[in-house]
Amino acid sequence: MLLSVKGLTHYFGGLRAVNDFNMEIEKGIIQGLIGPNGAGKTTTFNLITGMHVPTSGEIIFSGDNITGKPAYHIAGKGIARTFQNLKLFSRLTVRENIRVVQNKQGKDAAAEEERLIKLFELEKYAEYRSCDLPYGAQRRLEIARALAIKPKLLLLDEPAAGMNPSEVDNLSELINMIIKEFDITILLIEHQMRMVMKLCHKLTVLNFGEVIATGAPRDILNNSGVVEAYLGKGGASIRGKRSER
Amino acid sequence: MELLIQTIINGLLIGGIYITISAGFTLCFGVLHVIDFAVGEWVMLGAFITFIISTSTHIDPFLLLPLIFVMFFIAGYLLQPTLQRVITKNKSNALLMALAFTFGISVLFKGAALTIWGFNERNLVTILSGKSISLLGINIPSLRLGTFVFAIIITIVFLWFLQKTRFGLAVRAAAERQDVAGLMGIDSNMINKVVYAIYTGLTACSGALIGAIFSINTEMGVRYTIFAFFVVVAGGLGSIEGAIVAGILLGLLNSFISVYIGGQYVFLVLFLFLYLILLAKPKGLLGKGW
Amino acid sequence: MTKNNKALVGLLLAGIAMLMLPLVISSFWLRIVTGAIMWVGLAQSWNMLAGYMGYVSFGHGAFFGIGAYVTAILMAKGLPFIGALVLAALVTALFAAIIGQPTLRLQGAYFAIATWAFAEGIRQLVLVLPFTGGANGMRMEAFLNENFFYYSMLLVSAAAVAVTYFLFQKAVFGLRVRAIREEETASQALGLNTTAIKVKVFALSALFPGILGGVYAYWITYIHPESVLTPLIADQMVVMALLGGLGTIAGPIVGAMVLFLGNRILWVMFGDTSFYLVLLGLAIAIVILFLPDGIVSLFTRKKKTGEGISKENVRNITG
Repeated sequence: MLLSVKGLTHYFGGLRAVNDFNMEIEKGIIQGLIGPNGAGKTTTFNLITGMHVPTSGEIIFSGDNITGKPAYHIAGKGIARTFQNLKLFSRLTVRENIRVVQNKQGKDAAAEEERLIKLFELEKYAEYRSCDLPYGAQRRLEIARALAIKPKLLLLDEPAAGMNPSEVDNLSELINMIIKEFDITILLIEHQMRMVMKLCHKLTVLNFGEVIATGAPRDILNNSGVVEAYLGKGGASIRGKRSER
Repeated sequence: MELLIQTIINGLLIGGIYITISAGFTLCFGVLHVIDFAVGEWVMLGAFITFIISTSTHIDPFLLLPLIFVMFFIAGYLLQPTLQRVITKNKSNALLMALAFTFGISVLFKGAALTIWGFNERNLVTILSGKSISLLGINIPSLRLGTFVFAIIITIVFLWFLQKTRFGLAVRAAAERQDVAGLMGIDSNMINKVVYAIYTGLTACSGALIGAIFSINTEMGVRYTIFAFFVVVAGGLGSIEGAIVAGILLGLLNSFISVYIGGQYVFLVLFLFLYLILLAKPKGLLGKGW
Repeated sequence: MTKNNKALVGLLLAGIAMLMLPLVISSFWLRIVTGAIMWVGLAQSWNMLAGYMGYVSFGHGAFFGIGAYVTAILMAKGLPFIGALVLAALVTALFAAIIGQPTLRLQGAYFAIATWAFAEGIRQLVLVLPFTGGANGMRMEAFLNENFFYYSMLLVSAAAVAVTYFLFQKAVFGLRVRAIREEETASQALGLNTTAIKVKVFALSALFPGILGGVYAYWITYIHPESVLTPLIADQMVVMALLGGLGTIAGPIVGAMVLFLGNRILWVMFGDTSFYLVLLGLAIAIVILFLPDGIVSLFTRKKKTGEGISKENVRNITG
């Protein structure tokens, strides 16, 4: 297993954001993390990447226990991420956005920088400040920047947010390209179900901070609990179960 | 024992005025998201204007309070659009630019006051000056009691305005979310102007009260900037309940340090305390701030 | 001649002119220029922290004061000036590193208020400590050589400018510092040890004011809390950098020159006047209102913003 998360629990004040979360990710696949808004997906990302320290639980990444380690340390171990609301270094150029996170500078790094700019079709913007880029290019740059730290695991937080259908298709191709071009594993948070079904090898479904299903996309689609959680019809019954406790 | 009680009473009485300063200041933060560096200079100006009017008309400073409020309300109302411009023009770091801007205003006010009035100390005389009430061996200066009562009245009127009037409701809504107030049909620019105006008015009034107790000079401002920062940081930025608790705490701390440790240590302790609170509890001692 | 060579020649000529200056101007004006150069170094140091990293300190004057006091105290103990100055520099930077660790966890206005509280605390501390002379301050033996102080200030301030250029403008370190200014959380999540970087920048931005404070103390020979620890020092650093242009190398230089020389001209014309404060305050307010990017933004054309990007896309970005 590249990543295994055991019994991860996190409270914000008195609020339980993530509860007894378990997940395993095999090397080389695209795994999806789905669930309705507020289910705790982004919190899970924040916990894995060390931006929050979990209340309890364990995160093992390629054999190392990284629970509660500082974010830069975890990134150094090989976990990179993007953000739901873009967090680019706005007044740095595209090139600088990539260069600044590379941990070694020199010939190889410069070559890698060129390669990323090409692969993500950012050549014509290379010397532009990232805040001056069109939205789609900003999204691509954020992924390129994450890859610049040479991660083994890439966490993508709603990369298709704000995109139109044709842009979403392009993004799907891009993600497939990443899996081929880089020796990498991807964990994807996404609401665009069409994209998730097309891309992911395995899905984990989260609701109210708890895992309600795990499995192949087909099986998940036929799982009534998941459909209820999404359609909201059965959402009431889940909420009911929660308050009984 | 008597000294202890005396110290507590002094602390509580002066704490009342700190509440008046901080209530407006913290509301100003809550609604405008502005930390006004010039708060102490508004106190200084309030004290000086009161002194000038009072000495030329021989009207008691306490009776001048409504006039002072109105004058500074107008001043704040006129200044706010400029401040608003700074906030809207620098959206990405509005808080900081506003802090720097009001910092400029504070330097300007202080410089102007020094240029016009010089360094001399002045004393505001009120009807209560020099009198005192003795109760079970405890001596309470009438002036301090009077200013305390006025400070509490002002604060209560202010809270009543916030809680009971329609405009106050809009202000509280604006403190939560800028757009909600708009939905109530009240112009958010109007709210911003009025909130800032109330803040300058209240602060100038507390300046008049402070001037009655202590002597007035053009360099007194920074002291009250410190106090206001102390109260809102300890209380949690934007929290009025927090400001009330922290105002009393500041009064007590002030009076205890001067009596039991020594007057020259008051500011050292306050600054250290402020610094440490910020490090340990940036949301204030009650944890209610932003 | 290429553009780069031209700049280099210009810089060289300016350097020679600076070195020759004491030969051509009176000692009265030399003192004023020495002061201006000191302020260039101070404003540039503040710029490292606030301009490049986005952490606005309202208490940076404290490091100037600490440098001045440590130098004075060590010299009173019999150390020669250079020894005292080196130790003062180390003490200031170390002190900043220790203070920086917890303080830099705060952001925005909280950081600004904390640094201000800290600096005022230092001033109060100096007033009550047994070995600082309290409000009476400290006197040092006078060393009456204006040229020595001119060249010392020039050396330190030039070093501050050079560090800003090579470390903050040209090196990857500077890129990382600016990344923290833009998006601190993203920097962390992408492997930058932000705490370490921030502490380094904080210590560096305190080091130069510390040294300048030490030189200043020996130059003026009499220091007291109201001279080297007055909040006005931090205030002026802020204003000079803002006035010239934050996060640029030329900004603080221009800002310091304009403000300090303006101040001195007023002083020559009207004597010691509090009216300076009125102008200072007005300058801050006006710059923030109308020129938030400083004087230098009038001369640098905006480069490569929006070119080749359709209006629609721009709308997408902002929307």
